[in-house]
Amino acid sequence: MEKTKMKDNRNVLEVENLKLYYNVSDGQVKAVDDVTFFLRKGETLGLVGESGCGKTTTATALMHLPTPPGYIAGGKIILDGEDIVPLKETEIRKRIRWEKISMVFQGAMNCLTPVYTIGKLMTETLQEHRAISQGEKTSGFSKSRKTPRKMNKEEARKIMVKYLDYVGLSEDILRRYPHELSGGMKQRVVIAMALFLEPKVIVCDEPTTALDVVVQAQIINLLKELKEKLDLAFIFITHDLATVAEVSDRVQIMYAGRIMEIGTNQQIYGKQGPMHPYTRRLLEATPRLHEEVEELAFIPGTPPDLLRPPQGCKFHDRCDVAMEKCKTEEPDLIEVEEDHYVACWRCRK
Amino acid sequence: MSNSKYLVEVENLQKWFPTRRTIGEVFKGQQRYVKAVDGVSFKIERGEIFGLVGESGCGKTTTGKLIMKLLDPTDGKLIFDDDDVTHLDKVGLDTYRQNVQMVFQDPYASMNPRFRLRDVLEEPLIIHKKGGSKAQRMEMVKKALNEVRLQPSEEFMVRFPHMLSGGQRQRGATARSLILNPKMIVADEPVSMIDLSTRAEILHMMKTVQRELNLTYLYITHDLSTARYFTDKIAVMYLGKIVEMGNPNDVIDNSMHPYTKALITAVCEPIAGKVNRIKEVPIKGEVPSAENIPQGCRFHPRCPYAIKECWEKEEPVLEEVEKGHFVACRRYKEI
Amino acid sequence: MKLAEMKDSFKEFWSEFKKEKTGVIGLILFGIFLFIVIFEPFLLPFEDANTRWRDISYWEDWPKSAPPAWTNWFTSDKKSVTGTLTEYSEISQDMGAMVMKEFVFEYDYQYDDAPNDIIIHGDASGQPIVVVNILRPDGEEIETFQSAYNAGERTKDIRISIDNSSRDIIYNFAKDFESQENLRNVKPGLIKTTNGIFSKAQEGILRYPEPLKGNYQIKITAILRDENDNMDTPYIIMPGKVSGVLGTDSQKRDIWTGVLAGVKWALLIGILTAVFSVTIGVIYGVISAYLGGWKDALMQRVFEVFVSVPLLPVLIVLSAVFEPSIWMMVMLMAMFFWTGSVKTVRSMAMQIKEETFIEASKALGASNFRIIFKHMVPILIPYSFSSMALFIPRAVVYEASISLLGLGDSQIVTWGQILSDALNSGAVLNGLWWWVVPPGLAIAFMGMAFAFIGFSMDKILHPKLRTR
Repeated sequence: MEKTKMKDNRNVLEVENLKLYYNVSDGQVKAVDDVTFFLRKGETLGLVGESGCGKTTTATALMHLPTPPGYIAGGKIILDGEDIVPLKETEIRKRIRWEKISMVFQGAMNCLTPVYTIGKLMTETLQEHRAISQGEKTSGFSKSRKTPRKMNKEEARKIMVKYLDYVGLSEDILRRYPHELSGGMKQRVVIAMALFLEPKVIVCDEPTTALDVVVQAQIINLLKELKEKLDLAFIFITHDLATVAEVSDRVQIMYAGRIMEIGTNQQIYGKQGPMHPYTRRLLEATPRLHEEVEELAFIPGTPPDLLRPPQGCKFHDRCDVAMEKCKTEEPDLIEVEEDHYVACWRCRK
Repeated sequence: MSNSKYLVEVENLQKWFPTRRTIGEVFKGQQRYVKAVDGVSFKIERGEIFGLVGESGCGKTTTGKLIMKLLDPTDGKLIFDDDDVTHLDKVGLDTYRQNVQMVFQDPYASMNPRFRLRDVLEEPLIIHKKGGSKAQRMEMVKKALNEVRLQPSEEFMVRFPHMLSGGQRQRGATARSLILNPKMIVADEPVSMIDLSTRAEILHMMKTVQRELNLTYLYITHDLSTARYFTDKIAVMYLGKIVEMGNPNDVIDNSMHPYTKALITAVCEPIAGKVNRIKEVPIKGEVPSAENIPQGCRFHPRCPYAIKECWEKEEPVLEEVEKGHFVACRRYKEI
Repeated sequence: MKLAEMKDSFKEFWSEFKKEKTGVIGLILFGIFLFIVIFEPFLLPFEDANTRWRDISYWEDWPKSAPPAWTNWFTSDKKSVTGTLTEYSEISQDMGAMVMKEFVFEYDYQYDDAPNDIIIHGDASGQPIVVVNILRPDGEEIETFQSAYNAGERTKDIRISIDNSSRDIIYNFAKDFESQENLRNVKPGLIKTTNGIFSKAQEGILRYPEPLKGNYQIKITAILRDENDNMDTPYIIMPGKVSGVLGTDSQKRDIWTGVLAGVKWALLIGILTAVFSVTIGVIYGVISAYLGGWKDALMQRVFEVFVSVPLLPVLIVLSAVFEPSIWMMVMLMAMFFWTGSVKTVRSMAMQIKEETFIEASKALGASNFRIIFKHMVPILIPYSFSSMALFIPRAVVYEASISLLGLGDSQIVTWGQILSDALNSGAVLNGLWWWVVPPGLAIAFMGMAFAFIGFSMDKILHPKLRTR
């Protein structure tokens, strides 16, 4: 990807050559291998791929929370003009995580501590970053810059109610326990908690996967509304091309730790269709409800073992249009038309 | 043995789970129930793939377990191959288990992580004392693995479940269900945990096997899209009851029940130009608990078309409105 | 095929296990224990220690409560180390009516603190007269002992303790050098005999002795007046101020010997008890969890009865009724220890029971027996190993507690018994650390070895931890 395109003042997040490796006993797993992409203000970027393609790993890198033994092996993550990769953990915790970028983890809605009320859970999350004084009024003593901004209980409550309102929940949720809520409501609570500190970027990892279709549609609508209302930038991680089509302005397809294609919603789902053979065939394999098909398409074979990745393009052994070059040389991601990036030898003129 | 058209006939099947009683209820002698399956009737033809579709908690899995005889029904009747199998003794159950097999949602969880694939597949043979010697049994295992295209079978036999990909595991699980030559397979969300790129491959394989061996499937899923492709008949369940049933094209393209309609609108489709539109979801809220099922039509609190009759009169029954198309709604004509 | 397969899976396991540092440490410790057990006959300084641990006469020649010999390395005053003299030169003189046999021992004394005693042993028969002379490096010769023995016709061991028998002689010898003032302050009956022997012949020999270093000759003369009289194969034991690898206890027993001899019993008691109790506990817990309902409730009540029965009183009563033996102890401990793993196993089994593969087995028509023993119990094996590892030290300690009450198996030596002896003798108050620390450490190391092995195995054998 050309550097000029990357440097753009519309971008809130720019990721350059990000590498996240796992050192395991049998060798090195390049879970995210030299990934470059950007996220514009107020847009939703869909991050799509099959399990193990590195989409969640990319998200943990953005949060500066790689799961051990994973570590960021190189690259830049420029969030709001600042590279967060070299920052120390204390710094990240104080200024970056939840403050500028927050994440709705996969299955987070099932991880709400069952013994606390939603109010208590939310207060605790808020407290991590904003000291809540017990008194009625904000304490005037704390001048030290190190202590987080103080707020009193009433202010905290106001914030919680405000964000609960954003996600379409009423105030009385605060007194309820997680088990009293339905799956959709819990997911809304988790999203509200990610909004608390007004971050610039919210990463949602499979936020609709465990939900029923009707609730899924409701959550998708909610995310769309939030984007409008709060001018947020979302990264929406999922394995389902159909869900992404509904929410994402741009779609980024990953396979075996690499980005295969990035394109606008129209470029991927429009008449012309995607360019990369992987995206194309994945889209063909996505079932459509309103079309009667005799045979569903599929991609034979399985994704490569990242401990022993194939030479050349990672997809070549499952690709039906692979050439000799694909087996030896790995293609980079290049821009083939405005906002449309593809990593494939076949797609070059 | 007379051979009727239907392999499975389910009549008014019910499964109520008693809830834990509060002290007050104990004193009053009350007992509340979670009505997971609340009167379900359907028939599955021989060689048919019957899809049971619904959201989580609608009772589709419980129905599957009732048919698998992993649970005993509270009430109702289950006829398999012209025999009443609602209540079976040990010998009867043994035979029944050979005829009806199950494929589970999570193929990894459904195999003992300590067993190699060949041990997993050998288990049904040992249980039902099939295949005289170990060598014979291994031959049968190989044959089953070839049937599901897990080749070379020798190589896959010695693998542990965690050494297989999701698709391979589900193939293995299918092989296990085929090894006893059953008449029917209950498949509970067999592809929901499998990657999209291989999902179709598994469904394809299952369909091929079904045709080759003339099997009958009960396919339980929440996913209307695959159900449309995979099944010959779809029954949509809501809160323990079937609300609409018919062949897939009728149910999906010409749905009549407001719930089915809502489900269909809510499904995401990979089509451009939907990003900036808020999707119209006609029904509100979420599925209520099966502990207090609403009076009258159980869907009325969420139904946009509900009128007074819907909650005041008794529940509508499943009636045939077109040939082979059943709907349980009193207002299906008006909406 | 089966064997080759087992070999393969073991190889796989081993290559994983090698990476676990703690596991390897545990294995090394276990290896050391095993080595000790196998080569015990060659390692034990006292070969009869296993059978005669509680026999006072077996240990009577050794010093009492002596610290380990290596403590000398850390002090400027070198204390005499316990030693045995076996080499001697023998001269036999026929004097017509009698025969004089003279045995001369050389003793190189280079310490600052004299030994506690000089103990002379020999095989005697008939009625020999035995005389002991000590020739000091300064030329003084003391006839310390003279006595006639009546050993009878059979050959019999005679034992001469110079400390006891020659106190007066030494007093008389020493008082010639000592000042009057010092003599007034010394009670003749309470002097240390060996101080007189191994000190410089000068003022202060009794009160402020200074060591006389050099070569001492101990001459044992046996006067045989009859054909039947004989004296042969003498040897001398010098019970020092410090002794052996780990010192001695207040009953003069060598602690190193006890610790070494205790290894096999600790292993035996620990492993047997752990294996029995964990096996029972795991099976009980799994069955209880699997059956569920009223059967589970009943089994849990039975379990609670066993839990609430205090083991110690039961053991006391049963030990009083029966001959307390190690085997009975193992059985009894297993009978009550199995409860230890039931709760955990039951809760784990509850989870396993809900796993899909159990349901899948049921759907295939598997019997309860098959599900319990083929599917559920094997999954708990890693847990069993780690809990066995924790039961081993517990069993060892319990055995010690029972020994503390005097109800241990009197035929054997266990670390627990050494510890309880130490406790009874106030070893801690008297600062006899070498009596308390080694058996304590041994118990700790034994526990550590098995805990390390158990945890590492748990990590490797648990497939869920492994795939992640």
